[in-house]
Amino acid sequence: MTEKLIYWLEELGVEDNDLVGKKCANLGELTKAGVRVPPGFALAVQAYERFLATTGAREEMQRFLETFKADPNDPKDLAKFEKASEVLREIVDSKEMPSDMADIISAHYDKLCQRTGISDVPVAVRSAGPVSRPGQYETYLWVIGQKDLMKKIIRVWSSTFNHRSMVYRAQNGLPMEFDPIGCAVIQMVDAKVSGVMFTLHPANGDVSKIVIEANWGLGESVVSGRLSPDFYVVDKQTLNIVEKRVSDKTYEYLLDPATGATDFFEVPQERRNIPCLTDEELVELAKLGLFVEKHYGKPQDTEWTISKDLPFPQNIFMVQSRPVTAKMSKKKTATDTILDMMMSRLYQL
Amino acid sequence: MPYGYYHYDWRGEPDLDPQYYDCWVCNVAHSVPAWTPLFTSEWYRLIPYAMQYANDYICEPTSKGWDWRIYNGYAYITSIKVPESEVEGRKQVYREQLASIIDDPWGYSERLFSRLMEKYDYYKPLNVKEMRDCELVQHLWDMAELDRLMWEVHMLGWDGLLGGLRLWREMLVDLFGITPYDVRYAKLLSGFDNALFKLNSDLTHVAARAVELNVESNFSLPDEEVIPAMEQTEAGREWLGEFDKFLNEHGYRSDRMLEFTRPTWLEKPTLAIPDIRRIISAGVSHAPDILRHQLRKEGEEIERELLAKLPSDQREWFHKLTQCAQAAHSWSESHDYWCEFQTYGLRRRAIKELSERLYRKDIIDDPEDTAYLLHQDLIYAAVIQEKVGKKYFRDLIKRNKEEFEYYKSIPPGGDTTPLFLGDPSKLPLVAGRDTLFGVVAAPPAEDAAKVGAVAVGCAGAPGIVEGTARVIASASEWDQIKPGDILVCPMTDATWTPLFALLKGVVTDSGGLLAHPAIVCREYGIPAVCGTFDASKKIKTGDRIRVDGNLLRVYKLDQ
Repeated sequence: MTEKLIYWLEELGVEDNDLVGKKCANLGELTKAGVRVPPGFALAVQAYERFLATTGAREEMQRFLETFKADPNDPKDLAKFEKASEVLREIVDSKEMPSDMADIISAHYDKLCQRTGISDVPVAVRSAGPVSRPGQYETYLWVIGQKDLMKKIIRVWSSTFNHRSMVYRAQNGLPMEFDPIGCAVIQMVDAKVSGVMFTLHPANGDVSKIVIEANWGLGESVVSGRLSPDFYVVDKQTLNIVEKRVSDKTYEYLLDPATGATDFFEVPQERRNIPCLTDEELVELAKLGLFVEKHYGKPQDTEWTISKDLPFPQNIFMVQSRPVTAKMSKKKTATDTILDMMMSRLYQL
Repeated sequence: MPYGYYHYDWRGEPDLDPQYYDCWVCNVAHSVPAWTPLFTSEWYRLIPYAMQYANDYICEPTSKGWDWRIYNGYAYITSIKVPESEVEGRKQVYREQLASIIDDPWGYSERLFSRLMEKYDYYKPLNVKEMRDCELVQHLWDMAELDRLMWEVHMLGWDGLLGGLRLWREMLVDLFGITPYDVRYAKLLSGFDNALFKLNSDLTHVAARAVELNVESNFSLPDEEVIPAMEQTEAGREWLGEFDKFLNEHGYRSDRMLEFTRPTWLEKPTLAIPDIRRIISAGVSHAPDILRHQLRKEGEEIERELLAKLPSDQREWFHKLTQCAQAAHSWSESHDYWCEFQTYGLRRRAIKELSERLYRKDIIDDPEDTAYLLHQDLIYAAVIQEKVGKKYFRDLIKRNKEEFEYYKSIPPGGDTTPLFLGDPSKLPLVAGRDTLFGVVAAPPAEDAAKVGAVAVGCAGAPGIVEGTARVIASASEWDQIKPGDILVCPMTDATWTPLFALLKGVVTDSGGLLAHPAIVCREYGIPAVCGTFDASKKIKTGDRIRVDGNLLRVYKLDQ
């Protein structure tokens, strides 16, 4: 192996975006800046390419795609993409990790276990595209041990062939058989509360405010946007909490100790309608937000999590930070989308 | 001359006006059994008005609401085309109106209901018996006004909420292949509480109390003897206390939803006895209560699975549209409770008081005879000079009664009242341009004869069941129903809901996706086929039938 396929987070920075993908580069940058990030390592984009080439997966997929035809803008063809996705993922998932790559990943994982002092340390295996495509690729939580780690890294790579990514690439005229991404392997935080933080108000672009959304358990429930989380606004100057909307938090995303998988669980009645963050935690998060905004020099869109196991404030971790996108303030609303569809589909207008 | 039909009556020869209207459909659900002249006069005064009013408010781009005509005693309906030149202007208004409803569909229906509730809270405590004649006349006008408001609210609800449900239904098929007869469709919409389910749940509680207090044996007595028997014992009186509480909250209802010439439960508590007896005999369990929580959990789980299949930027509108569909579905069931039940209960109270006064003054021979007077005649009778009134009203009653008897004698779907007038192949056009029309009267999905079925519907509730048919023409025949029957009837409405706990399946002649039988069957988890047009004529009581709610077909077995 001539090129370096794997890096510790602290070896990386924003300039390594194309090398390891955006998420890995950002986590490296945060680590270097002194922000508390769970420790871990990153597989380079090259590792994806090398895996698909040496296992023969890329060639097999090309053969299948020669005969594939479907229109990504026709809802009726969505099923065809679903079918194709199943075939391609099966091709990738069925391959074994080449032994030279497996050796180097194992060595890094063993080192991570030593560093954290936990044997078979649970990790999150996250996708990291060089170009941000939120919600397209997959992430695996609570991965334990060498064997499962290899499998889940391959699953993350094969998620570039999931239904929604295929449709996206077809709609945007990108290659179908190839979409190189990096992959982050970081220690799993046993989360009490998680959420997102914007260092401006996403609804009106107000840069004097920090907006925090939070729910019990792992961050997936907030990031997916399907449940209504608690909503807090903190003033950047005074660090006063200027708005606090506590919602009815019906579900939380947790590790199921019985199956080892993560899943939605009903929140016990006594925790449903109370704030999941204390004022102390809110202010600490806001300070962290101000720090990363200053570091990057731009308003940030971040993800954070608070561990069950550690004392405050060492329990607060940042797991993602990226600049706020322009479309965050202005885009077609869901209501407009519905009205447009009503006109065209119900009334042919 | 027919009573009170005004310009809605074709008077013998239908003028189909094919340039303007594509096709007319016989509205069996609102024609059988024939309404009394009093109700008819008010219904046709208000219904076409309210439908066109609400349509103008919401401004559906392709339809101006429904038109109505009477032909040989039966109602015929169609939707009204919008001229090409008006479409663009209507489209803009419609977008504005719908945007606020899509943002808060549950709030929209709650605000509509609260407009009525304010009125009910004011009128309910009034004592009509103590009113002077002039005050009673004023109150009767107020009740007519309330009726107008009720129908406006009723139609604003339908027209405002249905568009979202209709789009959602189409998107479910196109994106996920889920049809309305897929069990997931029912689960996505079910499990929301509403006033009508609360009524039935409270009625079940009253039945349960009878069992707990050990007085349920009184229900083996004839209806009229149950309450006097309860009065004899301490436990019985305690049960009557519970029963009174129930009646005070839910008693503004009669055994026929669309009439105000029938006694309410509050006025004649004996009327509730058969429903309580049925619940006791079925083992005192209110299926939707037990199922609701589970259904909602399953519904949320299915929505999560569907959302996960969509690209992330498509999830928000789908979730929002799902909420619109859920609010529309729930509204379509609960509006009967807030609209017809309460308004007609109150209107009935005023009319009954007037009827008794007219009888005491010897202006009419029987208090029930006011059912044969039209609203505009009746309202003056309260203060009219007795000497004039005596002959005038008796003549009117005699004439209208004869005509009513004639209308009652005409069977539906016979030579004089065909199911369609005009070109039935244009029914899809009529139903397509008007969302509410499509819900009430869609064409059956396929030809029954071709698939070997006795009837095919246009809507229903999923599941397949085989059993014995019980053909019921109206509420007066409910006592014939046995637990485990498959109910076959022209149509059901909200007053029928307590029966569903006994049934294995339901088949109706009328009704679309949001019709009462389809909605209630989804909640109770029993198969249904609705909108068959003529199943209750082709099936006889005792026939062994199979109801396939997935394919919307009804088969006769043992042939």
